[in-house]
Amino acid sequence: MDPNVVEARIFSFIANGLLGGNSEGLERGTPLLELGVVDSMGITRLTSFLETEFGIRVPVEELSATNFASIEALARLVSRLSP
Amino acid sequence: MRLLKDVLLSAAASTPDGVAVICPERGAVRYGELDELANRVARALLRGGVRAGDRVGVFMPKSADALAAMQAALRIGAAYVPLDPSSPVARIQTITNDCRLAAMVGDEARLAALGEDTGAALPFTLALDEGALAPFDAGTLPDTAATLDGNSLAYILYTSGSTGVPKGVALSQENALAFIDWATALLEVTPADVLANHAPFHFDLSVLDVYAAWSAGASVALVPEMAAFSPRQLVEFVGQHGVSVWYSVPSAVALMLHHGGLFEPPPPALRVVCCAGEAFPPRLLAALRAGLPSARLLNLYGPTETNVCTFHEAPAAVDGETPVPIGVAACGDEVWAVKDDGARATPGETGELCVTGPTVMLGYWGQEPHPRGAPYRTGDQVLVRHDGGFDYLGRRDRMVKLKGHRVELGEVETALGLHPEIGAVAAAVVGSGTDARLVAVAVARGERRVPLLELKAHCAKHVPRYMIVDRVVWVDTLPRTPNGKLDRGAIASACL
Repeated sequence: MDPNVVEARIFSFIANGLLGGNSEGLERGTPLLELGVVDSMGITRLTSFLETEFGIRVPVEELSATNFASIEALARLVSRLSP
Repeated sequence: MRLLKDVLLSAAASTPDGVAVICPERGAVRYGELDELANRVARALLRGGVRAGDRVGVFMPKSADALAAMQAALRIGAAYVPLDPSSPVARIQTITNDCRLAAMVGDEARLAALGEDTGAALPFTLALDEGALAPFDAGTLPDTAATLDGNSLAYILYTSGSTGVPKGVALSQENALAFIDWATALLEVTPADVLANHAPFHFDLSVLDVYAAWSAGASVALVPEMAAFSPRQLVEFVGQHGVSVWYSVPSAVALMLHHGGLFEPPPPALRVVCCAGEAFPPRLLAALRAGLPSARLLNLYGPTETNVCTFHEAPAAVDGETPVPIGVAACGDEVWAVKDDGARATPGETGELCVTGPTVMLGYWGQEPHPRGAPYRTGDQVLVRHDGGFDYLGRRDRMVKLKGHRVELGEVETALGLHPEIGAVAAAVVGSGTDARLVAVAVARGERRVPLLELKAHCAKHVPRYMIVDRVVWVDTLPRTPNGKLDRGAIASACL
């Protein structure tokens, strides 16, 4: 899948699903964990979204602060885990 | 005199080849290895000038290294202060200065972030990375902790403070050991057990997982922080490590059950499930009982100030509707409820739960010590049951729970109020369990309504991540009661 499309879909999920549409200032490099955009429950919701949307499986060892640091990082994770 | 450090020392002496810790970065760490690692860190701390009676901060993700650092502090007669690895630097500085840390042990990235700020007066920092400990001998240390007794400080756990400043709950060697010995006996822990560690180390639930395991020569398996609320990954963790004793907030168990397939099939080794930190939903208890008919299911209760002071063990049959009691006194403590008129509540009456006994804290760091033997008033309202136990009813103040984390709304409001464009603000929690959300009702100082992300970024500089606001509702004025006080009921309604 086109990496830009992957990023756009993740962006849209975070903006609407996690921030309830209040996404002014959200960028592909925004530190998601540091700003509490993605909290412990957000990790769960985001993981389910990634698994359903992109048909991947995120194993426990990939739930790392590096992989969930930003939209960019998440898109790299998706591309790495994609078949 | 037995001290907290002796829990690991005894296990290391008797079963050096047993597995002490299972963690993501090192895999299975044997008692002998952990013991040597703790000795190396202890020597590094001594070299750095740390002495008996000092405090040592531990600022890193949960790991065998972090555990070794905590033990190292104890071994030289110092106390450890486990810090939330996701806390902002400003909060760590506040704590560093509050309890005058003699040293901070951490990972390179966090120590570098601390070093960039000049606000913290840290005499010594120790980064536990590759090679840092190589120069230090792993052999047994001379007994530098000989000057300690049961009342000596063992660790400080910082919790949210209502005035906006975190407060340090100071716990003694005896406080810790009374709880650990009680828990190890109650749960009948044996060397064959694997205890899952779900809670972070700055959270008192972790004291059970780590030390009850070590007391019995069992293993503690560290759940990675990032996976703490990821249902399928948690269930995989339980299966992969053969977890036999699980202890966490009930919301994590509920997620595993409803979204992680915990009982498909039921994990064969799982023989004990303990919950604490928030109310245990009756339906969750019934579902656990159905899936694990022969397992022991326990509800543990107690604020950080007393660790677990009451417990309830579920019977063989539960109806799924009756509130789950917090139960009867634990750890040799005495518990009772006091009514508003000061009299002791009798069965059927409600009152504030009070505690005395071996697990009651020394006091808050930097404040007058809690008088020995004096009742600790928990601030929790309870119903006295006819069987002599207690049902939890709620808080008497504005402390709330967010996935088990204690949050003083006053601390959230203080942080938000520091934003120059916020005129007035009140915070509230909407929902419960995994659906709990922190909402701010705010009045803008000028024309602009600060975007949510900008406010989150502001909060992230002042409070730990679990205290970052999830949503903001803008209003023209905060609702007040006729006598001018904030109308908390109207504020809660505005958040919905």
